[in-house]
Amino acid sequence: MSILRKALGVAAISFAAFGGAAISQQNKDTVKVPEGLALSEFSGYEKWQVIAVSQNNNIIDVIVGNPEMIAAYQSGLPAEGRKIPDGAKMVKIHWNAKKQPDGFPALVPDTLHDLDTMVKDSKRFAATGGWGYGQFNYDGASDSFKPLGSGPGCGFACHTKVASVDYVFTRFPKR
Amino acid sequence: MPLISPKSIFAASLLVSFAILSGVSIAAQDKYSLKVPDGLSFSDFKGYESWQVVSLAQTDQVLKAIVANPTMIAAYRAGIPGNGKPFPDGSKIAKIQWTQKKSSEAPFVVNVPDKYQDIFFIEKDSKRFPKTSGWGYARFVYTPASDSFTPDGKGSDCGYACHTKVATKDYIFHPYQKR
Repeated sequence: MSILRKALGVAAISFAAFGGAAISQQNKDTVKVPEGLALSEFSGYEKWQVIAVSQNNNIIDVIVGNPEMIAAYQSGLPAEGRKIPDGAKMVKIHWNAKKQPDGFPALVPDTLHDLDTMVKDSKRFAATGGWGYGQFNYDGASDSFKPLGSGPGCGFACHTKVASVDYVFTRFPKR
Repeated sequence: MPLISPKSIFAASLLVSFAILSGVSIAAQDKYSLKVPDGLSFSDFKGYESWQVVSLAQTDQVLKAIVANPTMIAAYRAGIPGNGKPFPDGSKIAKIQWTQKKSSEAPFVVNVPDKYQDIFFIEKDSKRFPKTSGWGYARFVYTPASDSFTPDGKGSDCGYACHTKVATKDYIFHPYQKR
């Protein structure tokens, strides 16, 4: 390999690494499940109100909702036989859990694991009970999200268990 | 005249009804009228229900959500306390604690909130709380049976001894979690 080709190769790798970093930081606005939800449909989720928290094994998570979803909860939903209105959105933020670093006997969030998203649109997602589902796995090395699977149906089979309350597991506990 | 007249029974039942009714109205407590004696007012934290989440925690007993007001969130996002700067006056943070239970519906094992237990508040006011490094602390315990809160203890320093452990992080344990 000539010196020139070597230099070109190094330049290309540097460019890719650099460009990759720049792209990944904007990946929140562009990442999309093929034939499914775009993360940008949940724009602003970072500031949405807390619905509830949960924990299983090494994951601790918070479930947040947009104002339409919070209003639905405050009107008494989910409830048997009643529908959540179109436009309601929820995001479940999963973090890997770690021991509290200052010595308290508690689990606290470590690195971001993934985002699970749900949006109600009874026309668009007629085939999956009116809800579209998406999962975006976080990759710390590239600081970017990777969509899981394809299509908007990834959570449907699981959420069918609570079909009678319009497919919503999470309750809104008093605070 | 009989010992208890129909009239007096009627009067007594009216009194009982009145007591029940007023009991109900007492139970609908205005939490924002509560205050720790010589300490913080619940109303200092008005609107905490919709504040942005900072972080979470779980112990053997409880699941917790830590939320903060816009002043404090802006400070976190500016790099405080990692950048060595203190949180500004007006920063407020609340820790909501629920007892936990296994979800009876989820298809996998997951702990979810059960009963509301208590809420902790901290606010920064370097003039008002100079003895506790600028932070005032309070705790209100929730009682489900009466749907009401009770202030815990008195004064504004209930969390100080514990939070001194993280004095280098301006006395705040939880960092703002990436999301």
